[in-house]
Amino acid sequence: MTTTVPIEITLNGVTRSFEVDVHRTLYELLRSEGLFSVRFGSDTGETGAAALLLDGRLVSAEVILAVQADGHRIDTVEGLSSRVEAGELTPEVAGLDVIQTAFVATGAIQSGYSTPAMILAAKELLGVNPDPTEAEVRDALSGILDRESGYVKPVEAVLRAAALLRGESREPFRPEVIAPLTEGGSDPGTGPATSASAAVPRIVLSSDVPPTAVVGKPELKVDAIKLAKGNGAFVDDIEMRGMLHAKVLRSPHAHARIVSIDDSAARALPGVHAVIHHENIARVRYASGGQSWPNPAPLDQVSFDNKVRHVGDRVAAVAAETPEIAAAALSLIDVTYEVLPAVFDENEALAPDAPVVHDEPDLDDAFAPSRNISHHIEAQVGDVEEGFAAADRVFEQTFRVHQVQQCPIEPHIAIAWWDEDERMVIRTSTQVPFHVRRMVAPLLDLPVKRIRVVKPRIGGGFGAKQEMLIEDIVGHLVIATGRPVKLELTREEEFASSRTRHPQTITYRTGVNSDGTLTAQEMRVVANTGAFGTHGLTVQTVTGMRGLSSYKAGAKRFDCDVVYTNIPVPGAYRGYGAPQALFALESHMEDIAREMGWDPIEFKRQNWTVEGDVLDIAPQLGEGAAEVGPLPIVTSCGLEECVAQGMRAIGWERREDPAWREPSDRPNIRRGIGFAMCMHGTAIPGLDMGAASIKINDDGSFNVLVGAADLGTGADTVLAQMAAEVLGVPLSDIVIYSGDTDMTPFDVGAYASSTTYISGMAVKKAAEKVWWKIKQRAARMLDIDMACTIELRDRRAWAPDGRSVSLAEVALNSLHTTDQEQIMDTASYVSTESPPPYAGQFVEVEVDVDTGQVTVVKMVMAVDCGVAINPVTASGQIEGGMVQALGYGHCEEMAYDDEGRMVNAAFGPYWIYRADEMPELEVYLVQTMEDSGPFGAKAVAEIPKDGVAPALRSAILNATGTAIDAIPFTPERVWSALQEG
Amino acid sequence: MTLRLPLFEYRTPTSLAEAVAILSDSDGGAVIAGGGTDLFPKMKRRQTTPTTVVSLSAIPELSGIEIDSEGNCRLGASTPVAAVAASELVPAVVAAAAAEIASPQIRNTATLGGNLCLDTRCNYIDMPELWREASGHCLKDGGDTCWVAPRGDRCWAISSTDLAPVVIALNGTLRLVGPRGERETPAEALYRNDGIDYHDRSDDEILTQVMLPPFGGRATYRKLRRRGSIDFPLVGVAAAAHLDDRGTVGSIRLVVGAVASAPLRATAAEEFLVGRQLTDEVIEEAARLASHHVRPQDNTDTGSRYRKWMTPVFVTRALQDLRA
Repeated sequence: MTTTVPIEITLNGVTRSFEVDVHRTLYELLRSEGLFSVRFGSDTGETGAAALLLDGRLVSAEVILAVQADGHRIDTVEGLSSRVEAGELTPEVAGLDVIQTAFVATGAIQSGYSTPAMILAAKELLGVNPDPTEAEVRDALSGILDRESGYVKPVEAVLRAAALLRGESREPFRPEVIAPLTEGGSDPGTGPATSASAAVPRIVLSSDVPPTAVVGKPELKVDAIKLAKGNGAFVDDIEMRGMLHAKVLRSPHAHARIVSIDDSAARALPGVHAVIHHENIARVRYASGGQSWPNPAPLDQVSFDNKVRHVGDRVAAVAAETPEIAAAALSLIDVTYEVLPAVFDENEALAPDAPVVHDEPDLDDAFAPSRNISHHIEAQVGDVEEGFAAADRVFEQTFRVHQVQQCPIEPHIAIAWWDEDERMVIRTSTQVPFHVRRMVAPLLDLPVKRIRVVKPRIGGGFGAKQEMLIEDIVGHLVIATGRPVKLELTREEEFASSRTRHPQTITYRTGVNSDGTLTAQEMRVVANTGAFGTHGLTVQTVTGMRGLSSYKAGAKRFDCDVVYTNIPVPGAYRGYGAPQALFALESHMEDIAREMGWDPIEFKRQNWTVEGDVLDIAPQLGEGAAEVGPLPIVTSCGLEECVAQGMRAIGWERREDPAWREPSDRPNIRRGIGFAMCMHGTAIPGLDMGAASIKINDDGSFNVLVGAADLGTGADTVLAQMAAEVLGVPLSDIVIYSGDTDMTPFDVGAYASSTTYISGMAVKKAAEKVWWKIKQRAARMLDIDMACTIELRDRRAWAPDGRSVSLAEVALNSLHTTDQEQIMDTASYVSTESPPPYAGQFVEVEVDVDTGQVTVVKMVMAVDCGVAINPVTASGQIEGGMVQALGYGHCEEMAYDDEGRMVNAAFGPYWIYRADEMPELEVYLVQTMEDSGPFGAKAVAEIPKDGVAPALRSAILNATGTAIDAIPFTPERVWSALQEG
Repeated sequence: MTLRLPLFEYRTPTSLAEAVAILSDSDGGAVIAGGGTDLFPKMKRRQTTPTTVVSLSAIPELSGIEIDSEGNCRLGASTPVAAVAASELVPAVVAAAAAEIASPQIRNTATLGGNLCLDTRCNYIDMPELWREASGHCLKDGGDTCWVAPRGDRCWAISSTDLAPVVIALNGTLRLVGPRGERETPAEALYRNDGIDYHDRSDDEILTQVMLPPFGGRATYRKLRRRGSIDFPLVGVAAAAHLDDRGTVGSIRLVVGAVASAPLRATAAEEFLVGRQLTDEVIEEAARLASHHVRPQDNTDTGSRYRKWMTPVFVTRALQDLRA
């Protein structure tokens, strides 16, 4: 059999010859050649991350053999850029072409993982069609799945590039300031939004916000250039000499005991260096959720157990010379299972005769494992029973929310090795590098000081990477082999063996008086935490917190059982318990209003929590402990303006127009508009801590070192903007480095909508300390007594009399000439408050009543996130978050057969929105001044996840008169509900 | 991590005769790769492990679209789906159906022949290898039980080709070349309602050409899917008819795809429609006739009851398209 053949490829303009194995995909060849812009997304090519141009046509390297490229021309993003020039780094100096530059300029790049693929798709399109319509652009991008941007800004980037290539000019990409519709805003006198492009965020300014130079401006993302070029910035983009490839043997059974495991044949296979499993790895209990010390109980996991609890659970792992040998070794591990009855539904798991998921004797910190209850949560304010007794009406309603997956296009991946100091370096795609270092240490029996965790660029996380998910496996294998080891999950593993969102059964009971006030509100939740309790406590406390603090009620009660089952493990997913709560709460409130004959928005407005209101249940639903502390009070709220802007933008009045709702020319179509309010939190008060160090360099630039973990959100950019603002320099003078446990100070990581607020305040404080040192030195240099009179702006320190020294002169003075010192400082921040961002979410739909298909036509979200530090990246967060939320409400659903095996563990049957399926999106930023936040900022990352599902339900209800109490609104579910009438 | 392909031999014959010889000599171990976009993922999942993969890309006469002297549209089987979608020579309904397949990257690689010969699909056969093994392999996977209908003795995997219903509706003819020479067959005759043995094509026969006769009537393809486009169809209805000036149906071919292991001709509905005008009442009765023997199985992520109910809706819409 001929297994290798010679081929010749013109690769980025250079003719190259290769000897290739015929079974190698083009993906494998190109990556081995260091073309790291061609990235893994899935085995079937649906993510498009491995796109390249073959003879100018976009194809997926994952489903083409290297030999199929013989004699053809291949172009990747690496070939687009011209040579990097000297001088200040700009897109031009970095050698970007017009399309790459447009992606940078429009904020189209978030994690950047699939950006090279999109740029190539644009290249193909504009090569044949210099003046494409938006629909044509969307079609061209439709084979590249983006979990981050909502496609709004990538589409804008391609249209902009097309215009520039045609020789037309384009205005700089800037937010549009619009007039407020309610009191308190700052009126620029420009009227409502006019810009043709919805990609531009609209901002309503607040007169309470002081002017700034860098903060609040649409600065280009600091990592955009390297991501547009496809530079090797991700975990997989390094080549370690002698690196071994790991693979994990996964359980095919939902619930089974491992009776025996025989690894002798696998060990004997040439090229296999280690096989690890429960018989040769120490049993150390842990909880995998990436959370502050001490991790919330129960510690119900071990690296390898003698029992498996879901299809996809760990059984064993191997490290071998090649992925093929690793896969072959897995098939040689002989495992005998005693298959046990399994339970998948959270309510069935509570039945007396249900299978017990955790029966191990060493589990002593779960609530009631024999009844499958990992946690029980209760919180109460006042007496709800009294409230119900006093109410004019009491409404009770049960909702079901389902399981979805975060779907980062870059799956979990880690590469680990012993460095020259015999310390273990773990380069991993994580949101929580510092938690990973602390949590993995006892599992590997290494002191924390012998571990360095590095987070490079990350291809999306969305909570799935707020975990110590695979780092222990690579660590064990490095120890077992002494060689570098890489483990990257397959797409199927990312679905079945990673983390997901908790399904819940939610029952609300609400007492209402005929004057519209709420006498009592009770929320009972049975939450499905799958095989392990990771994040089980805290996701559900957020459900209670958000579900019972968005509206005022005379008394409140939360009662929740978090239940073990045999489904793949839920964990953190952007929104973290709030999307579940808000779907049920907003739907329940709307139904109460309908039943009472009230306008839903008026009824909600009468009761929603706004500025000055007390968050009375918050102290009991803090992280872990039920301590009753001082009651937090809402100090900023732009909800009224958000609702007003949203109503105008969506055309709310059409809702009551029967002629619009039932178009006469399309008899099977009904139209509707829906609304939901959203209120989230900003960081975990009293717990989340971030730190930053800042030092000056010879040229007056600054290194900013932060522990925060930018996973594509733009965290590095907004943190650098804050430092630049304080230090009076342009953003380009800030060199930011983040998320490396050896090099940066501590940070809890990227979760709980905390980075801008917590890490941002740490950066601001550190910058202010450095600012003060610069001012003192500048005062001496300028011979001025009062250092406090010095001002820093435009890269200079200014005296009141108009004299100045440059920051470069200050730096040289401090480093080289006088009283030498490194001007540098560090600051930390932890907040006692968690100021809520607010939003109004609006959705317009068309429902095909013959098929149940729901087409989402438009979504508008108006968000009060305080002061958006970067309005472009903030609007990108909102657009991307809304589309993830749309998937949750509309179409994404993990489906299983009777044995607990997922039947749609691939994109396609698991549906995430594509560029050509998108509704129109509009984003409004409503400024408020949050005095507790850096420069007035509150969180923005998670609130876009909260309102889409209930607003979608509300729109379907408006269109059809049918209220559906479960998501997602698949054609089948909607059609069935319409049949039942 | 990308799954790795199993070992195989890769052949790129430069003539049809050579290709046929390779297939004949391989004793069933060789498979034809059109673009490979469906085959290679299946090989990665070890649903199939051929000893030899035969690419037809080096046989020039298999690519291209032309109108012959009799007005027939002849499409080479190796023509990329994207080229079919972009062609102005093919009937508009064929181009439209091709444009709805998968994603731009896949359409640039996948071929017409590959789509017409697309393997049948099922929840069970598409699972990871280890899960299939733990279930006990299903019929299509070399086992002895169909997990969709365990009491039966046949495989219910679904025909998911978008182009076959359209080609059948247009009364297309397929040309196949094998060791016994060349033969032509009506497209309809290629398909069998059996998830495993879904083709009337021997392992050493190659689909070389699709011939669509001149068509002056009206045609449409309607597809139910959960989402915009990347999905395979859940129900696909192709219809092609000649109507006279008063809208009376002179002839019609009506094909329902993705509800069985083969595209199904709705002959009872066709016979009922001939000689009638497409009034709402006539369409309703035709939809009933076209759907009543359709029995989708529970082998997609969408319920069989829903797919059954959607069949008449999509037949109705297809017939309404013809009327419009």
